[in-house]
Amino acid sequence: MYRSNKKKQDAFTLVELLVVIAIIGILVALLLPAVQQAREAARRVQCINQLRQIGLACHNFESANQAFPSAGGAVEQFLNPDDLAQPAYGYEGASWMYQILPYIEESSLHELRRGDGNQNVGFVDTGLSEFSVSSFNCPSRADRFATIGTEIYALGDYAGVMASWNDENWDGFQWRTAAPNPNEEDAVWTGILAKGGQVDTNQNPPRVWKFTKVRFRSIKDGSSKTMLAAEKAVESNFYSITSANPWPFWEVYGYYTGADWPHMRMFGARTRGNASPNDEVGIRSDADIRSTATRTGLRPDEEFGFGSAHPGVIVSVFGDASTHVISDSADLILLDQLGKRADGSVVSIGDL
Amino acid sequence: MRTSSVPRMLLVLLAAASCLFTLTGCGGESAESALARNNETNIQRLSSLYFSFQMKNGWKGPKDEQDFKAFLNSFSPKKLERIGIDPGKIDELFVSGRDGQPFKIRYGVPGSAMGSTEPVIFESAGVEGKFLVGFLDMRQEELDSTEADKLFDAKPGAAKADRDSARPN
Repeated sequence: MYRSNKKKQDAFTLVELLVVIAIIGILVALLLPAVQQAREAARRVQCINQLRQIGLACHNFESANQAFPSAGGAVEQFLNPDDLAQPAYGYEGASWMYQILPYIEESSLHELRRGDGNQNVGFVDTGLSEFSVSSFNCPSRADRFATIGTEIYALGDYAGVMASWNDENWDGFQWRTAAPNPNEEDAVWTGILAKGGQVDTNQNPPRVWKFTKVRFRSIKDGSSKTMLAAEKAVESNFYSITSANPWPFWEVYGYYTGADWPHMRMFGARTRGNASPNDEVGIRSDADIRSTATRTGLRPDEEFGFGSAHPGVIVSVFGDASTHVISDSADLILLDQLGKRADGSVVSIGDL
Repeated sequence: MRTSSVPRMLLVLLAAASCLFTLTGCGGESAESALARNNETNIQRLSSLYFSFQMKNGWKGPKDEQDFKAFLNSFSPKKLERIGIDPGKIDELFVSGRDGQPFKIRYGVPGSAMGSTEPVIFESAGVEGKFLVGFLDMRQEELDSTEADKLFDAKPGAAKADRDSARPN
């Protein structure tokens, strides 16, 4: 009996353990929200800093090239064998994100496109399209990728601003290597990051349309009053995309795709009134599960606009590289105007 | 008592750690494992590689088996290995793991940078009257022989040209 009692005193009883675990549980429950909020605040600051770096990289690009980076060419050009290794049509077909790589200390990645000069060239064959760049991803979102067929594509979280498809004369943009859509240059690419050009490879020799480069003097509304880029909309269920059905065109083929939805978005303001054929493309939180969305005529999972993982706001960078946190309930018409470099609107961030 | 309480404590600690990892969101799927999951069977792999062929050949499909195999033999061995293919055993890829028979393949199907929903890989013998069909959008469907034959014999549709059809014209 004596020996047994002594042994019992050496060990924790189950009740003691349960009490300790319960206390730890209560403490975690009390502290976790505060810890999560602190972590989220830190991630938001990091996100702001990244957009500021992107803004500064665009400035450095402008200093070196006398023009801002373009949004690239048509998405089909991304895989065009003629300009896989380097631009073949007198303008860069890859995205603005690819173009600023040397200005965010990613020159080696930028050069990877050239490959071995033989078959192993371009974005896909060299593996360039698989590389994540931390500056292009919001830390509040997990590592983002799409797997399509045999390939992996790193996905980005920031996008330049194009005109709203509810604007007058908006007639879409060409994604194939064909003639540009009517009004495309003037009606769609109205922001600081504008499409570089268009090539029709169905003609021999290919016909090329070079779009006007955007310089500081092109930003007639003022660089401090024109939005350069912001966080794009991503539903939390689609941080990683592992299915090609339906085709996730708003993310594929990742960072380096030409002027298209993966890195160019709109505020979609209803500038043509209620007769407009589309609903507005509002700012959407990652937590907003799209299957419950009611936008008419659009698949709920398709993304054309801006949004954020940060509750209630999106982070943006303007043409002067200043960063601004914008409420997700801000007026879409004002945001649409802020995204245009020379629409003559007298709007500033203070008006939101 | 001591010897039994130590493993119990370990179990409790492990359970608590699992809860914490779940709460903090650790343990997401990697790109490589997602890619492997989408290419577990030969029909999935062949469909994926058919799309890769289109991507590298102006969105035209292989014109015959010889054309397809020549492409696969020139394909990056590293990329083949990461989807579970032995680069030295390309021929094995053309046999269904379910019925053990060579696949029937629809050659010459055009594609698009906007993807495709065309069926391209078909089981030839099937299992219990059902034939697995592989599509270019990474889907597989089990169909009866009439449905499968109808899809196999269908004229390929035109390459996809539109996507955001909801946008204003």
